Parts: sequence; structure tokens; C-alpha cells
Amino acid sequence: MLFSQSKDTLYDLQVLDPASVSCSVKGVAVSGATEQVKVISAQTIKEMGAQNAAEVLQNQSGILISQDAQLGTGISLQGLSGQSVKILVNGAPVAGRLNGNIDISQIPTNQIEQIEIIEGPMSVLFGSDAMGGIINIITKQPILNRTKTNARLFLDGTRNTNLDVDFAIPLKRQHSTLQLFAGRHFFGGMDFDTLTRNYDWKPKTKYFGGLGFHVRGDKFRHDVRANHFYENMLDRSNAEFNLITVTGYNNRFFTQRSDAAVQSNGRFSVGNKSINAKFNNSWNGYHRLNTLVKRNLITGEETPSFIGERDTTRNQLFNARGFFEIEKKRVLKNTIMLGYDANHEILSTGKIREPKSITDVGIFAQGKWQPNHRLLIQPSLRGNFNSRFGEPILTRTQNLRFTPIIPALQTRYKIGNSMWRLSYAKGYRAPSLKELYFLFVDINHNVRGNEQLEAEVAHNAMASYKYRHTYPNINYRILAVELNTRGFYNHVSQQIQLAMLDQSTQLYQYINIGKINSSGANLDIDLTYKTNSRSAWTTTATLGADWINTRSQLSDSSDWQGFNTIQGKFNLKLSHQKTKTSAQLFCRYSGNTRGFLANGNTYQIAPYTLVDFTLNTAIADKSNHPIMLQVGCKNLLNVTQLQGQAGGGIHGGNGVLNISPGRALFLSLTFQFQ
Amino acid sequence: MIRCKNIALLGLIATAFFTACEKPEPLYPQPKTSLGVQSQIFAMGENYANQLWFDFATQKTESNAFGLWHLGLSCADVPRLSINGGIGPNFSVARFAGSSFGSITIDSLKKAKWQFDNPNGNADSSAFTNAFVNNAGKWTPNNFTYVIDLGEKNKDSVRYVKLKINQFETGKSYQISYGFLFDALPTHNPTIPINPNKNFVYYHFNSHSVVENEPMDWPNWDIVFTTYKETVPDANGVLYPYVIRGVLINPKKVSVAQLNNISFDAVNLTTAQSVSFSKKQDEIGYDWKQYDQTAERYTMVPNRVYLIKTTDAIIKMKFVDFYNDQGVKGYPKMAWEILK
Repeated sequence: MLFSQSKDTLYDLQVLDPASVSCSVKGVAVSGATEQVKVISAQTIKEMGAQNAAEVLQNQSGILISQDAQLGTGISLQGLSGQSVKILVNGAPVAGRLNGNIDISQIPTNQIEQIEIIEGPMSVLFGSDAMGGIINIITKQPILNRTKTNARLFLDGTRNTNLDVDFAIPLKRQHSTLQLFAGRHFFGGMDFDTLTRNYDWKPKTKYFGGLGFHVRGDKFRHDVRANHFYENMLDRSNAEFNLITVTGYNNRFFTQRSDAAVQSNGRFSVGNKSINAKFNNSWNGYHRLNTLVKRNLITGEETPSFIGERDTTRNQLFNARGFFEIEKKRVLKNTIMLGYDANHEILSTGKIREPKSITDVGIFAQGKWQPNHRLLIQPSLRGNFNSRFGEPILTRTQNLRFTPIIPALQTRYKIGNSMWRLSYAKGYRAPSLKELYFLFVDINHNVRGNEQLEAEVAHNAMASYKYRHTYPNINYRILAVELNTRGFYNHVSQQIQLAMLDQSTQLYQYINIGKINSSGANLDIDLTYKTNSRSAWTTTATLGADWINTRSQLSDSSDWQGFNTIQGKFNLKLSHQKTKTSAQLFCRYSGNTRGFLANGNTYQIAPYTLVDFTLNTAIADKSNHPIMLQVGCKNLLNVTQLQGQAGGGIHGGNGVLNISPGRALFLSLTFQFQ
Repeated sequence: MIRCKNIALLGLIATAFFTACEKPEPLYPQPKTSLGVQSQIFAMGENYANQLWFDFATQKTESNAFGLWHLGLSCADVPRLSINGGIGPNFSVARFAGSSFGSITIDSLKKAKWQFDNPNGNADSSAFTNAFVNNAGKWTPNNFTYVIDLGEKNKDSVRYVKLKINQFETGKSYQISYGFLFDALPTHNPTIPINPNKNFVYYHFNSHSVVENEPMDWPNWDIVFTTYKETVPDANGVLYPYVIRGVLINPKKVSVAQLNNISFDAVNLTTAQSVSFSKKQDEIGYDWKQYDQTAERYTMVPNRVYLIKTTDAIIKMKFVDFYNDQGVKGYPKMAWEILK
């Protein structure tokens, strides 16, 4: 893992300045990046006691997480919903969007090294679906030539029992390591009204595992990975009583995710040029099946339902990506990065007549120009070819089309402890295969895709200011302050919406009709206070506030509707380096939130506050085989459900929105063998 | 130290695996069903304008108007078509092998063999028998053209509908083409989606649209009081198509045994064990009533009891009356008791 650390005083304070690897081959320090990058480290994830990526992101400012009983977790970034947020694992896009969202609760945290959140359109580097930004999940890479075994058990009061193990085994060949991991996460479900049969939080059993081979040569390092994930979720209906019998329905959702990737990165020279290169070739597969059975609740007899009530969704994504970062030797100021990004997606489902595919190929260039040590200017361009939309290039075939050039310009100006960032970026979202080819026609539905759809287009402007200062070292006591504030504006046009086109046949079809404007501001303040001694406690506090305004216009003839969302957070951490002990408090306030449903109606969520407390310490730490103990309480205020109109669309829970399974004490034990 | 740790770790792993599993759902107690004899009047109306759909378990009744559809298309995995013969004595179907649309004229109709669905519901007794052929598990339409006579109430120009079945996709849809007699080519080519919650979906040729006819999903009804067509012998034993009012069962859910010359009170669960149940759709049918020429009114066939077996219960049932308190016909009254 490429990490850089700043060389200012904060480094001495062990306040790490992590590196982001999403937009660079070498990795770039977050403090020096021109993009608005946020990095959540494995250490922070561990301290939160988070079991999946959704739990991690729930505590981040600027991100809204929603829950749907059947579709899983949804996400919103900069006021733009999940279909505009690209989810990547090690830079490779993740397949399997449901209702536009990737269910990030299906990404366990045990193999996460860090999560990088980059706000604003990232279409130049990552193509479609990155209008709101990207979330890149970087997985762990073992330290080569070192044996390591971890086993972790997690138990909590909301019926979670999770077990993870991972191994890193050096191979005979030098600088090569085999990595294996496996896990089982079980959630027994949660029902707030025990008189009903339907679970408010559905029981889930997850199995996952993977293997990796990592080898370092003279110039390149190669990482080969293959992973598989399986989830079995049970959705029970309420019992139906009549004079004779009692019946219920069990709907099981089986989800499988598989991926395989080969990643290579390294450095070589051509003449007086030094080239950092990174190649990533990946396959990502998704399969979801649901089966419905009618259960006689008196005898336990189960009868499969009609075959038409089963649905199978298969989605495959092939991605090939390459970056070449070219810089003159000994002149590191100015660099140019060239790259390619090719994606091929295949989707088949019962609601599309036959498997359909879409290909998207982009080439991009990004320059970094530093006219002086204060100013950095970073222009970027992407040219894109798509098989389904855009202007046909050849008259003989309609399958090669050129889409408009995507530009971006980012600037950074640094003076003393202050840093300004200013950026403009254009983004786009290609119509999804579902939006192009959907066909759901039965007695109650007449919903059709539209092969004439064009891409959604977004324009984004962002400005930010950052101030870092370390107060003088007096009596070995040090106080470091970091202030970060930013504002953004997004305008999305040609938004794809499902609209009723014919009242008499109740025909609903996807069309490019809507517009969205979102704007917002954020303020984060980080304070770190410590004495210069290993045996002293270090105190870190983070205070943050977000305001997001989202306005939407369903069509040119309709009025703009807008809503404000206010969020706040307060994190406090006390850590003791010598005893490897730390205590954390995570508070997250979500203000009155309103938004839009797919049908144009609005929903509203009342304000709530989530508070978590965790305590970490090392026990039996007399060797290289420590046992790490973590105890804590999630959701101290026991916020479970909120009344009001829910935002889960047709799958929402009758005006009740699930926030959390409830207050839960938890215990986690991690065994380490090195 | 390491050994102790290994043992502790293995113990925790075993605990996690063996205790954290989906628990089997406890069974519910049987509802108390000793409700005795129930009875209800089903208001078809003096002109039999209504159909009434009934579920014994929930005692729910739904009503809708009769005669709103022409063509029924089965939602089962095996394709099947049906016509609403109860609309009138002439409402029937003629089949023409391989004929092209334009070659059927009013003269060719005179030579045609007109048929309607036998209400027993058997596939081989349908007016559309052999409409489909199974090729290696895939159902495809046979090369037939059909003419449906919508009845003498319609002008000739809109009385006869020419129909071709183009495609059937299991669990998804039927694709048909149709036009009226004087159309050289089909003028309508609808794709009619299947509804897995119903036994049939229904189409109307005049409105050119799918219409709702089953107000309850198929798992939620047992019997329907309706109007249909049956071949009935006249006084001389000659068979005539006759529009009648009776009870059809939901064959996906219900089977029936008809018992004669037995009192209602004498029928019990033991009786049910010694009879055979039929899934014929018209097993209850219309002949539980008979017309008393002397009294000039319908009377109930005495000592006739029906045993009705649903997926969850056995019920004994008899008909009590065909008139309401004001003496108006078309209001059958049924009495039943849940035995199990």
C-alpha cells in the first residue's frame, strides 16, 4: 500500500496524512490532492466496530445512507442519488445495481485497508455513474515475505455473530505472498413488533472468501485476486389468519458476487522520462435470485409459488484500465497522466427480453502544471466511445458512437498553512441497461425502457479552503488544528426519469426529462491535543456540519422543488499509545431530510441522532501474538424507526423508516499471529 | 500462551458457527373452527347480472358484473384459451385449418363446426382443443385460424372475429392477431401479459383491451356463482346449448364430491374419507336446483350435499334456496359447515 505522510509538524504528532490512490498511480497525499478526497483508514473502521461498508459511511458527513428492506442500502453524495455515485473496489467498478444502488452493506470491512471518497464528478477518469463522486474501497495488501494470521469474532446484542479469518503466507519465491481470507456473518433479524411475523430488519447469512497472490519484481508489483460473496436473506410476510388455517409467505433473496482482478503497478524509464504505470483488469459478476414459497404455518408445509414470481438478475462487468504518469526525471513539478478505461457490461433479468450489453471505452489525459510552489493547475479531458448512445462514427455500424468530450479543471493554491481549491468538472451518466431495455408488462404494470435515451450530463463547481496549524510546543504539550470548509454546486440535465406517457394504457417509460440542482456547504474542524510522551493520552476531536440543498424539476413545464438537509457530527477519541488503548465516541446528527421518490412524490425523514461508543485495548500483549479486545455500544440513544413518509419507494415500509436495529452492546476479539 | 490462545480461538469459532443459525419458525396453533353451520345469500340478481366469488376460509365474497370479456387466456404454464359462452347461445368458435385471414368469408362460416367450451374445464373439451403443440418443452401455436361468433346481438360487420394465435411465452404473455370478418388482414395485434395471481386473463374484442374478471387472486377464492353455457337435454333428450346459472369451482385449489340421498347432518369427516373428489370445474354445476313446473319456481334437489376439499379444509355444503326474502330469483342461499 502506498502511503505518504506530510512532513509538517502534524507528522510529528502522528496525525497521518493518508494517501489516495484512486486518481494517481503513485498515490497522492490527501492534503496535497487537487480533488476533494476523504480517506477512512482501516484503523478508523476498526475503531468504529463497523462490520460492513454501509456502517462506515453512515458516520461520514456529506453522505446520506438509506435502507430498503429488499434492495439493501442506498447512498447519496452531494445530494445526488446512488445511480450517480460510482462504487469501486481497488479501482474496478462493482456490478449489481438495484434501483440504481449498489448495496454496500454487502461489502464486509475485514479486508478493507481504506475507503476513499472523492466528491464531485469524476467522469474524466472513471466514466459513467461518477457524477456525484466515487467511493473507492481499497483492500488490504499483505506485507510481502511476512506470515500473518488474524481471526476475529464479533458478537452484538442485535443478533450479529460474525467470524473472519485471514492468512498471509510467504511463498518460496522471494517477494511473493499468498493471501487467503474467509468469513461468515450472521444476522438473526430484528422485529420491533414481535406480534408480527414480518421482520423489520431481515435475517441474513453471509459467506465470503477470497485469495490473492502478490508478487514484486524489479520494476513492477503484481496483485492477483479472486473473491466470492454469498448472501441469503429471508423476507417473511405477516401471518394471514382465517377460519381454517394460518399462512405466510417466505421470500428468499440469494445474492452472489464474484470478482477477479489482475493489477500491476510499477515504474520504468524511457529516455529522460520516468513513467509510473498501473494496469487493472477485472471481472465483476453479480447474481440475484429470489424464491417465494407459501408456508402453512400450522403444519410447516411449504409450497413453491408460481414461476413468474421468481426473478433472476445477472450482471457482469468487465473493466480494463491503465494509467501512465509521465514525469521528467528530477523535475517533479509537472507531470502528465494518460490513460484508458474500457467497460463492458452485460445484464439479464426476467424483466428484459434477452441479455443486453453496453460497451463504454474512454481515453483520458490529465496534466499537472505547477507554475510556482504555491499554485497547481490540473486540467483533464476524456474522449468517450459508447455502443448505445452518442453520435455514430461509422455509417456501417451503429455500435460505435462518440460522446461529447468530458473536461475538468482543478486548481490548488497553497500559502503558509492555508490552501484553496477551486474546480470545475463535467460528468455524465450513461443510461443503464435497465433504463434502455426494461420490459415489465403484466395486468398491473406497463413499464418499458427506452432505447432512444441519452446520457445525463452534470456540471459541477467546487471551492474549498483548508487551514492547518500546530500551536507551539510548550511544556511538551501540542495542539494541532485543522479547519476544512467547502462549497459545491451541481447542475444535472437530461435526467432520466420514469414518466407516465399514456394514461389510457398506464404506460410508464424512461425519458430524458428532469433537471437537478444541488448545492451545499461543509465545515469540518479537527483538533488534536497530546503531550510528547508515549505514556500520555492523546485527545482528538472532530466537529463537522453539512448543509445540502437539492432542487429538482421533473419537466420543463413543472415547478422546481427544493429541500434542505442539515447534518452534523462530533467524534471524540482518547488514545494511549503505550497500552494500545483507545476510547471513541461517534455522534451523528441528521436534520429534517426531504427528498424525491422516483414517481416525483416527496418523502420526509424526521431529525435523529446516532451515538456510538467503543473501547479498544490489547490483552495478552506480551508477545507477537496479541489479542485485541473491543467492547462498545452502538446506537446509545436507541433510534430504531422514524414515522413519516418513507423514502424506500415501492418497497418502503408503510410510512415507517428503518434507521437502525437498535441499541446494541458488542464485543469483538481479534487474535493475531505473526 | 499460544496454545491456550489457539484453544480459546477454536472454541469461539465453534460457538459462533453452531449457535448463529437461522432458527426454525415455531408452528402456529390450529384456529378453532367449531363455528357450526353458516349460511349466506349470493345476490346474482334477477337477471343474473353479477358473479360472486367466495372463499370459505375467510368467508370473503367479491362481486363483479358478468359478461365483460370475450376471450380468456390461461395463466398456467400450459397454454389454453377459453370463450365466455355464457354471453349467449350463439357465442361459439369455429376453427379453420391453416386458412389465411382473408379467405374466410361469411359463406365458409355456414359450413363450419361451431363449438363452445365444456364447463368441466378439461383441456380436451375446450373449443380451442389442440390450439398449441408442445415441441421439446416449448409450446407453439398450431397453424389454425379461428372465428368467434360474438352473438346475434351484434351487426354482421362486428359479429364475427377472426383470430390467430401467434406466440405463447410461458409465464409471460400471449400474442394474438385479430380482426373482424371483412378485414383482409388482422387489424389488432395485442400482446396480452399473463398474471400469475389469476387463473386467466381476459380480453374484450370490442374495447380491444384486457379486462378484469377475477376480482380475487386465485389462492383466495374457492367457488364462483356465475353464468355459463352447457349442453342440456330438452324434454325429448335432444341436446341443446343452453345458458345456465350455477357454481364453478377453482380447480387449482378445490375438489368436490357430490353426495345424494343423504341428510346434511349425517355427513361428517368419516363420510369424506369414503368418497372420491373431482376437480371438474362444474362438479357443483347448476343441477342442485330444479324447476317445479307446478309451483313455477326453482326448488332445491332434496338430500344433496357437496363435500368441498380445499388445500386446508373439508367443508360440507348444501343449497337452501334460490330466492330472496322478497321472492325474487337469482339469490341462491348456501349453507355449509367446516368439518376440518
